[in-house]
Amino acid sequence: MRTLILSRLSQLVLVLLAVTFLSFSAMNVLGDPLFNIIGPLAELDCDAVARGEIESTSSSLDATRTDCEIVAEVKAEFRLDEPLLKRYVLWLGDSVRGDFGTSFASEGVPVSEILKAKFPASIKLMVYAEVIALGLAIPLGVYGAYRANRRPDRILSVVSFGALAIPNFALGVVLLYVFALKTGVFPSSYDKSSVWSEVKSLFLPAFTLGSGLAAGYQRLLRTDLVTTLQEDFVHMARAKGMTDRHIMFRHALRPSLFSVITVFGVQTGALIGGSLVVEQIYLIPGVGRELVTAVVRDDFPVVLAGVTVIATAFVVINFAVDLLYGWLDPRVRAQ
Amino acid sequence: MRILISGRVSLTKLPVAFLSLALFAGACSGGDDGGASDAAGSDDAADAEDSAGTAVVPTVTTTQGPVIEGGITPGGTLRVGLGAEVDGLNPGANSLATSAYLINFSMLEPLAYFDAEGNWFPWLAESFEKIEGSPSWRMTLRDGITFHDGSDLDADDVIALFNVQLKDPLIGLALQPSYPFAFEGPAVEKIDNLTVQFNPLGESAHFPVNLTSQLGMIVPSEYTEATQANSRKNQTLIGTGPFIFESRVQDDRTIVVKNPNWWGGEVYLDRIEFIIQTDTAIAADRLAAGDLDVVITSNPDAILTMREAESVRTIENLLSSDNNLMMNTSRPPFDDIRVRQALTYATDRDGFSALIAQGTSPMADSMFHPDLIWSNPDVVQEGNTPELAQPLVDDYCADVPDDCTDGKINMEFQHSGPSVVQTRVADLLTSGWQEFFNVTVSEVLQDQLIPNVAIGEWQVVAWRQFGSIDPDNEVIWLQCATADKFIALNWVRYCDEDRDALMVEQRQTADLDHRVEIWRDIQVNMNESYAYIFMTHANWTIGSHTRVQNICPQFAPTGEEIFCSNGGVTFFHDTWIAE
Amino acid sequence: MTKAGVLRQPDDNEGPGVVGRTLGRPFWIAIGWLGLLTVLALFASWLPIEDPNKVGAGGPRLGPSFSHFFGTDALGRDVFARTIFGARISLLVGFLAIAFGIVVGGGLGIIAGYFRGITDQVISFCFFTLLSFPALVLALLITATIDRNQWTVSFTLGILAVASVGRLSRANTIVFAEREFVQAARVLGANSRRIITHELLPNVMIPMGALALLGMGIAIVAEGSLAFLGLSVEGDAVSWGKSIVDGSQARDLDKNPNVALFPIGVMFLTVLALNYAGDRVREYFDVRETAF
Repeated sequence: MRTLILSRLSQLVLVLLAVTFLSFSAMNVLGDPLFNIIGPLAELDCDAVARGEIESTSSSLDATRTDCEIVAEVKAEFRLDEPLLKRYVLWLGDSVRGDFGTSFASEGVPVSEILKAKFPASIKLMVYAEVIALGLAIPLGVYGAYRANRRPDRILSVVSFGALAIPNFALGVVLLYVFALKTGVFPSSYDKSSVWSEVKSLFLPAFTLGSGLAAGYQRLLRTDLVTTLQEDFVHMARAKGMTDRHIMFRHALRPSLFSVITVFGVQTGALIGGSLVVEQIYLIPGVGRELVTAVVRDDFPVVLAGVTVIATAFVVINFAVDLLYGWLDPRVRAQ
Repeated sequence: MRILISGRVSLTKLPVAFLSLALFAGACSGGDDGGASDAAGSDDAADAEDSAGTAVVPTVTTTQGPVIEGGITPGGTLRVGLGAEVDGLNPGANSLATSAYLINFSMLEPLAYFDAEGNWFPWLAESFEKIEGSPSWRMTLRDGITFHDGSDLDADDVIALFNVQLKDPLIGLALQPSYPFAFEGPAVEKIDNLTVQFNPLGESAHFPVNLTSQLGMIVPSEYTEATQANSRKNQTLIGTGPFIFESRVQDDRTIVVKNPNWWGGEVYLDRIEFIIQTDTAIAADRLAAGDLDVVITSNPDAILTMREAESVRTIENLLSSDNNLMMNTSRPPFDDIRVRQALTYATDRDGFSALIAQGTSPMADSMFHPDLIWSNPDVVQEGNTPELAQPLVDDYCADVPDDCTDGKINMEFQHSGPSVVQTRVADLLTSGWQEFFNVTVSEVLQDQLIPNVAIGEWQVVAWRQFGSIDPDNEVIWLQCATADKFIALNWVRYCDEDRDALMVEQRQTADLDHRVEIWRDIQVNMNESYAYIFMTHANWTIGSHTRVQNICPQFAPTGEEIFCSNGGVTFFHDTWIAE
Repeated sequence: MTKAGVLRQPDDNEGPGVVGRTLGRPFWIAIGWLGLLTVLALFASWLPIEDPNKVGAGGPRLGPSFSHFFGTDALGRDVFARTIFGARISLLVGFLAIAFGIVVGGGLGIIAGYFRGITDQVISFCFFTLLSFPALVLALLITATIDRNQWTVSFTLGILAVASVGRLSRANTIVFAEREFVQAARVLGANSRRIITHELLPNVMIPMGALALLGMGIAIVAEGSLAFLGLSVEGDAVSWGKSIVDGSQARDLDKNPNVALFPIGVMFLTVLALNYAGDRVREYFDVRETAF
């Protein structure tokens, strides 16, 4: 077990380094940080000005500084002329201490503040979605396996198929329209004035996200249960006279949860991504929406910070899932 | 841009700053509320520097019912849905548009404003006096008014703010033509504790109209200083107005509470929540459902929803800004008038009116609505005559084959997004143009589109412009002085000396009829320069739930009836909510 | 070990009803739908339907009728035409993305799963890194900075597929590689390449076939999500996602829901068909499916 933990931890660190480096490079190579900080002045060819080929300009209202001097100052402050790797390492050093720099787009607001403000909504949404998903999937999965290949199972199969086939955004739009705007059963936007209002206003988005997950989990669980129920030890237990219910919950369910658990870890990553669209539709002030806006605006510090934190969360969750997996499956423990 | 102020590097505000700049006095990438518009005004009614001039009462269609009998019930929270966010509330540092005006006018008061007939009157100022024989104007403030922080309103506050605005690289652009640096002498002078003298470069018979907008909103000098030192404070505001700042979360809501000591009298509402809802069509639905109390928008879908809802009343204003297309005259291919004409002839204005505006706003022949006295009835905006475009295109392609491919002129159309309406507009226009042009459509984030336009990195855009109550406030977008800078407020960068001379003349004359004549000539000039293609007059609608009473008329502390719905901008101190 | 042995390995559980199973009628209906859609999409230009971009092909916001099967949108464009032409982009992107994912991801997964050791470490690490990006965010990062046409969008989604497919193929490979028949082949001296191509590939790739169908559905939905955020294929090209976004404004859903609902319906049926077919294929080759 200990070697498992250690190896996973080192993997965690390595992955984070890789993810952050990739993001950092992507934004700095595919985008133009100088333009994002300084705007159109970035287009000035200051080398040509230095060589005397072009006239020096001063578009700032402060007549004591020319445009090229301003460009030089910015480059120095943000170290834009230094090699990518060095800049990355510097950024890394700051980030580890929680300093993700200041946003390019909002006047000097520290990125960590922006993200801190947006996280709660997203976390609530995702947890809520998983709760709905598991709350639907586990009972329905058990039921489906219990009545495998008979009518209830077939119906469930069809329904879960349907749920998997509907895209998040389509479902979200339709639910918002029908249940919030037209009939007013649910509030049409996120309201955090009280716990109850949060629960109500997050239900539709959470359901939108969770229904697809639920369908997936249900099918997986049902299939795995059916398989497990084939195993010898189940035949034995039956022969011994144990009740179906006892067999199902005490013996069959746990090993069958493996797939669900593995998928659960991966799904959380997809959940985070999926919440992007749902947050847009329901106008939830969460990290997803913030990230979309920041990416399109080339607000590098926010994007980097967002991706880093999300990747960390994801990796940590997978880490936990691995541990859980190990605890549940004695065969893995033995490795 | 990096601005270095007193040796310290202050953090840049681009590209958000550019966004604000453009929204400063009525520019926007048109079609819907994304970005909103209109700083200086909405309706063009008649104007004179004294109320003796002939005034055309603006036609404002309203389905507002009579005030509910039973007296006023004070108290309650008003939830106002706004379509666009601003990056800050500081008139000295941020550039304000409709949303910000609505928020700010609850807390600040302008030095002057427009009355119901479109004439200016002194509000925070007590009086304005022109100095004989010079362009200078003297303004005397009212005595005994205090800000929310307890300090007194005096000349120092005005001067501190003005100087900061003048030096601001963005706001300053609007002030520089009148107060150029090269000019000797101070732009503003303190005469005594309550008197300030403005020394603009050129004569103006209606100087106070320039103080009815952002430039006239007064904050304490302590606030001005504090925000210069720490730009985070731009998210707060201190004024003299009927409501006091409570809290603000950007992209979410700004909350103000009643000022019990307002010098202007009683305020009925306890609180106002200004809530950002970028898709105002959804805001309209929420209004109809009772989730919001007021929604202010120019989005045709939202307007139609509000018109149809039983529980909603609307005040519609057609006399403000217009939706148009602009062409960049400083670079090929649109530096050639033949190309501009060709584009004009090929534009499907009828389709735009039918499919985009959907009957919520009339087509526009110029920047003035036909009901306004400034409007020139002989000026007609051309379009929907594609047969006239072909010879021009052939001609141009023969002269400049590099700009053409397969006999069609290559062009780029930029629009803001992601936005469903903007995409539709692009699809519609492209479908009309593609017979003569190879159209590359670029969807650009609003934050980036406006800087692109400001620095001339564009060819054709869909825009929203104009609409000031007094056309004197439009000069800044049309003059030569702002056409050839790095950042050009004259977006299309079209300079015409004759037109400049006309605009100077209209500023100097006090004779209303003469001014009307001049503006009619200016319209002809604009029409013949083909730099703009006017589409429709925007419809700014204030939708309110039936329980909200008295959006209009609102009255200034000194009793004048305030101009209702200045491009959607209104006040709330006389508003109350019925039980 | 013959090829026929793929279906029956001596150490598998065999339950009743394995022999003689067919894919089933609904399977062929699903395939039929997909085929029909593909044909319509391929030959769209030659079919007697409207130009999908023609503004004012009919009056604006009309409901379904004989002249416009799915009605018209806010600009009077024919929704049926837009749906058919939209299928082009959506199907193409879906297919390319998953094909890329399977070829690259599947291949890498087999290599990792068979050789283990350092190769496995490196490849798994790459997969894990890719999977640590929230999927849509990675797609955003790429599509927001480059030109967006069907090839780049497919490639972007393909990258996302590589990691998921790769992981699965690796896992399957590991399982199979430990089976006796592979151990036996090793003992008998068969070289790695032979083992991979003759024993592992067929066993691993068949579930891949199922995954291909399922994955295509996911890719189609992903393209729709990107379109919803405004980050899918640019320009004239119609895609389902674009049509759905255009019809999803509150007022449009109220007055003419056909604009959004028909493309949603077609997309739904397509993804459903893909999912169903994928599932049936998987069941067909997985012999342990029996009742309690």
